[in-house]
Amino acid sequence: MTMISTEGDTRSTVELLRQGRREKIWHKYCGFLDLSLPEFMEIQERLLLEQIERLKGCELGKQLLRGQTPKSVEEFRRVVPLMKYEVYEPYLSQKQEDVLPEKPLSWARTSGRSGEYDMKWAPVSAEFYQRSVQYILATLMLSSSRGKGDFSLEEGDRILYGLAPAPYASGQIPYGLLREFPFRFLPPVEVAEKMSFQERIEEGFRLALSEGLDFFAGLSSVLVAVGQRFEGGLEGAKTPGLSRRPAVVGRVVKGLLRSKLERRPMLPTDLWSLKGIVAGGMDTDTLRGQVRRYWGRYPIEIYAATELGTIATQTWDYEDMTFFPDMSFLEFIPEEEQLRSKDEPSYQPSTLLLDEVEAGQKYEIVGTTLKGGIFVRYRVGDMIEITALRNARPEIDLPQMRFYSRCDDVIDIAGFTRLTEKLLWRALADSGVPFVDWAASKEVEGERSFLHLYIETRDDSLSHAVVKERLHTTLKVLDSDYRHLEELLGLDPLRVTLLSPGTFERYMRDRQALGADLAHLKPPHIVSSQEVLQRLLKMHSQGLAS
Amino acid sequence: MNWHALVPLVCLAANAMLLTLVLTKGIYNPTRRVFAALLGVSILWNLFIFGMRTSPDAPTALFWERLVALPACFFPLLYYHFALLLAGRKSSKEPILVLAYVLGMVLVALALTTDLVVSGVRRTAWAWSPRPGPLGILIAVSMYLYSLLGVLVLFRTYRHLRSHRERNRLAYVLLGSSFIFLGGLLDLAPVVGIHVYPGTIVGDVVFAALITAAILRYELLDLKIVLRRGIVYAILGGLTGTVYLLMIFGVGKLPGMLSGQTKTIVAATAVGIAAILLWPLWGPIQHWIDRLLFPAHHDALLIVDQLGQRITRILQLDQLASIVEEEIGRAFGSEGVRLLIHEDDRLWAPAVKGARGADWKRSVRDGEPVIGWLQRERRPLTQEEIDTLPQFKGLWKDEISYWRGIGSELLIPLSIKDRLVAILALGPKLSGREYDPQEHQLLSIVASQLAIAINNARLYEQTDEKLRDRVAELTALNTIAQSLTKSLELDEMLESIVSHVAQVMQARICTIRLVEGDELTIGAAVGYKDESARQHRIKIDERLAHLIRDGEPLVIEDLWAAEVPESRRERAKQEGVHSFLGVPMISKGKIIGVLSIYEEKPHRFTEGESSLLLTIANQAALAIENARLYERIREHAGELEQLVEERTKELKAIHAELLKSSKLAALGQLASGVAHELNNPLGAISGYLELLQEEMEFGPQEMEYMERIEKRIQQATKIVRELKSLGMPSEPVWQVVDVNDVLEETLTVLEWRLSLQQIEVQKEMSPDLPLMHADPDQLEQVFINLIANARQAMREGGTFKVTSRQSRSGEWVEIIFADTGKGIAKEHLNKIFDPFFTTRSPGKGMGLGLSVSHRIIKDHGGAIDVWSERGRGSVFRVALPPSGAKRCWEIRDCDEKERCQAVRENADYRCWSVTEDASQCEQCEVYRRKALPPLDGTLLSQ
Repeated sequence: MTMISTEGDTRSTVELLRQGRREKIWHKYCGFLDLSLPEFMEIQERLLLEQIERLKGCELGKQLLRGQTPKSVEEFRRVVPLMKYEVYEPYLSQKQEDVLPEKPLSWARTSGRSGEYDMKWAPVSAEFYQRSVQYILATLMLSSSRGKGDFSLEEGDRILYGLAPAPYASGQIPYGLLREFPFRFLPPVEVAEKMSFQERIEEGFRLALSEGLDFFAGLSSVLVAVGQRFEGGLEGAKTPGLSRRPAVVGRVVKGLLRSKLERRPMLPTDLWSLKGIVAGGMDTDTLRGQVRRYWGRYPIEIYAATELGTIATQTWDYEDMTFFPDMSFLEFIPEEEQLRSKDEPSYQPSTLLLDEVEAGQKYEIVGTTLKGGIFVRYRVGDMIEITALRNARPEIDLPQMRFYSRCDDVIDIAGFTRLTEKLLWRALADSGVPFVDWAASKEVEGERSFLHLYIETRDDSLSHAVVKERLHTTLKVLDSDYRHLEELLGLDPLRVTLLSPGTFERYMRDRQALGADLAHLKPPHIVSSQEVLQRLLKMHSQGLAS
Repeated sequence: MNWHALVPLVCLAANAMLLTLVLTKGIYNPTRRVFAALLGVSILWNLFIFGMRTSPDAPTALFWERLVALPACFFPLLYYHFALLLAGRKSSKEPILVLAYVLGMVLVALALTTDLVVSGVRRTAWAWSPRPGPLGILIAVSMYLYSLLGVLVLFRTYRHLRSHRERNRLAYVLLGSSFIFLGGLLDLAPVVGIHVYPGTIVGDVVFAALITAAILRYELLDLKIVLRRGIVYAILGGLTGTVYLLMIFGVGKLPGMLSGQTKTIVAATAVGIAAILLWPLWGPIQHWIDRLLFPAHHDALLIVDQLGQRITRILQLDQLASIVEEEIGRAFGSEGVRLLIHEDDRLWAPAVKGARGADWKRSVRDGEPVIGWLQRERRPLTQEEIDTLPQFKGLWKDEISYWRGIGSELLIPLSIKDRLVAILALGPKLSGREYDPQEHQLLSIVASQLAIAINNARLYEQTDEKLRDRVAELTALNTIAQSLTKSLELDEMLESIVSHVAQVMQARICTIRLVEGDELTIGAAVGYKDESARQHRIKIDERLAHLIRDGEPLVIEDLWAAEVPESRRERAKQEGVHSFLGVPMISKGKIIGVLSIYEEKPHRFTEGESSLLLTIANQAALAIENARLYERIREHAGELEQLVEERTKELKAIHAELLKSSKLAALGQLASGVAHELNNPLGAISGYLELLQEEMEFGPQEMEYMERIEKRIQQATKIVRELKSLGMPSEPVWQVVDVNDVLEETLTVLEWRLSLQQIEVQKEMSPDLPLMHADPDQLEQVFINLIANARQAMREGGTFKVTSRQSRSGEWVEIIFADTGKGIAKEHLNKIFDPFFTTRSPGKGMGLGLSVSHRIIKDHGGAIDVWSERGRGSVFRVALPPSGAKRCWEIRDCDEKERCQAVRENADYRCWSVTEDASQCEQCEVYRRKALPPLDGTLLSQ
């Protein structure tokens, strides 16, 4: 990716901070929370019309707009159909820039989990990028916030960035963040670029021991994994050479004292008082409790997609997420329309705008990137749930959302129940089964379909029957339709396979050896590909053989 | 307990309240945490002072005094720490602070355990007072040192702050700090031997209150306002107080005439009167304070006041804008002020002319957030707010660039009722500071005056513009109307129109395009660089169709940017024109074309311009219709003339013919009648002569006479017969005839007569002649006449040639009689076919032969013509159509109609084909037989 100079315009935010003008900083980054719904919609509409103007001047844009120049939102929705990546693939896979509204600042990669493409490329315009970065900063501020207008940000705050590196979209953020605010990345961005993901995390935590840590942005699972290692006795945490440094010593001593006072193993929260944690991913909701336990605070969840940028964020109440107004023009496909379009691929489902959605309903999200992007009425493949039309506690007058599932990542059992990845995460967490990792697939025997969970547990002593029973019970509690499968239909919808220890580790190493992409090192949790399943089982067999 | 002991108690309570307030608001940020600690230390300080002041004895007092060392040491450190945080500096990076805390702890330890800091106490009028030990000075010095450092940090920050709000906040802190210092000075006075009431703890309360307000409240009352009002109140209060005291003194000095109560009443009344009399001094005092202490504000007020008076007298918008920009810039020390007029959906700066003006001109899109906000909120808007407030996230990229590009820091809306009339854009202050709320307020006051002045100027300009437009319109219309009446030639008129319109409208190109089907073609144009553009035809696209269909003017502000066909855009670029105005030309409710003008720069045509062009277009349409009508009339007149000429010719010819015919007819009738009358006596004479010849015998002489009589009777009978045929031509008896046979027969009869005159007869007859429909007797009659005439012309002998052939075109059968006789005089040639024309001496012929022959040949659908030359001979040609050939008859009347099944109109000839059954006619095309080549004398020599 293009190197973005870190000598950027940090002065403006930093100067405001030095002047104590915190309210200005709040307005600049988090002010969108104070918008009313009509104001939000007005921003969306205006920027959509600007985006149409930009698109009509380029080749791909003209094609997407069907050679027309819609003058209103209604006309736009009437004239332009909903689209998927296949429309863009011929151009974006070749990274053709001359067909775009403007030369992109960079190209971001996303994993092709839909199965059709190994990877997908998305051009990122300069404005879009800047806005994404600003909203990441906003989320960092919100993660340190206890109320409206409150945040804890200081020059030189240390941040450990644990997300996928470039060319993934998340990997392009650090440079922009440095332009926006003078964070200190652990390890520094230029150094981290040359490291693998694991190396980066390890080095980051190592540096944090001596220098301290203020923010973490990454996967909740990483934080939980580190916490578990601490809980387990910090094997390998002692890094030679560092332990003699006074800062490390002081930190560790302080941590030990705290843990002793509380009569528990030393946890990361004893070493670092993080100002904020920003996390993304399906498991954030499930793991938040553990993150809180290990790190002393809940993570703030952010919802983003490579093609559409940052879409929504939680706020200081750690509940539901609020949409960003000027990243993408948002539309929502009602669930029944989405299901119909799944059965009839040629069917064009209708959409609703944000001021038309209803609380308690699920929708597939559709976005048109603003600020010079290229995606138009793009179905990114995610289902969200509108939980409320406003959030009274933080006084946010905008509809609130939660991530529900990937459209494809739903296991339908007997047409009776639909189990999402999120639900399975919760079930696993609630069951108390200590697991390393898991995968699930829908399998069919004769005319009957069932859920097959492949789990690698930490505790070998747990028997298959016990694990199955626990999971089955938890699922029945979490999902009434699942319960009815047994009660009403007499079905036993669950199969469990306990994978041999190290299966997922072997899988990852095997994929690494084959040069697989970072996104494909682990199997997806909802496995629809037989090939992936076979590969997993092969690794499992290897474990059994050894 | 004395009241001196209450002072620290009250201060403790006040500090405790403030601490509670701060804790309630939250201490999650370091600044508030340190301030809370500061308040906590103050509370301890007051507690310990209270303890000391209520101590019954010296040891107890000493105990409390030693404890006082704790807050005394840490208060300045915490103050310094607080100052660092308020200035946005990271306290952990300040080694001097760390050192200070360490030193503080050491001093406190020493104070508590030794006499080095406090050696004892002594009694004063209000309380126990400490006796400082050797290190007591150190504490004092450190207090001041760190306090001073804190003040320095704050002061430096204050100087560099741009934000008025932040400066105001720090001003409160600095003011509070001054109370602490003052109090501290009083506390230190005993050290140098001056015993005054210790004021730190009182000052501390004021300090704490001011700082609490500063850090808790977002908006603080401007300290300058507080000071201004405070000073005014102080001065007025002082004056009133002084008057009161003087009154009291004066009244007290009065000899005991008045009672004490009366004195009080008098004094109070006098004070009241003094207050009323002094009240008018408020304004001047305020003015004097502003001038002395706040000169910038005073000057600004003065300038604004003068400006307000001046602008009411100016009605020219550009002049008004220039003055406003200059004076406002001067009043507020702004680096560039610009007045932007908001009109419909554009923004423009009247004071900026030329190319730079374009930088300030812009179209405003529907719902633009900045304009909407200014209209709605009607308060100043800063560039910073545009950059940070979420309501402006909907700005387009070019809108953001515009607002940043004009370099303004503050936008003041100038509105009348709900309408945004203009925006005053102020650049950054030359001092680098922000505009403070007082300046915002002053600008808002000025804004309402400005809005009215601008509105008046706009109205004046609009009225003036309308008037000028109207005058121009009328002048233009008059000019054009005059030019339109000068000529009725369409092309000339169109050229005149476009030329005048281009001149009047100051357009680069003017065209008239006329509607032809689904295209517009150029009727006239002026101003094109590329003359071939005149040939260009424009398809009526959607936009033009709208104009054509609905009769609405079409305005395109910039062809280079608008949605037009690419070819039009390219042509516009080639011609170097941007804007377009087209109006329909309507005549009798129908759109006949489009009158359009092009200008070189992007231009938003006004309603006045559209209206003017439309008026011209309507006039032009009328004129064009008149010209077209004139052209049609002219064409018709020409046609009419030609027709009249032709008809006149025809009439003349017909008349001549008629005359001739009527003459002929009359002659014929006469001749026929005479012949008819003569026939009987001739018949009788002939009969009797025959009888005589039979009955009587005559001698040779008598027989000769009888023969001569018979001859003359035959001659007369022939003449009678000819006369009869003239009046009553006999109908041909049609037969299929071989003309060579007829010729041979005729020649056989007459050949011997010709030989008698030594006339050599040559025959050249084509054997392949087609047959024809003819009356053989009539043909024979014709041939006999022609041969007889030839014989007559060759009295001395000669050569007589008869030729029969088919014409080259195959449409005629020609029979040519050529003789080498004396020929016919030229002047007689056109009369020889007239009846009774003869060159023979009287009695030698009636002159009917050729006319009868002509009629017979004509009846056969043929023609007879002659060539002759005096002394060389004559050639007579009879041309007849062969059988089956189409015959062309020149029919002047409709008699033949019954014989034809159809008649073609306007045809000079009606034709029918000759069939076996001549009673049947078939309509055929108008057939004009190819003309025969002219005769000449070559046939003579062949």
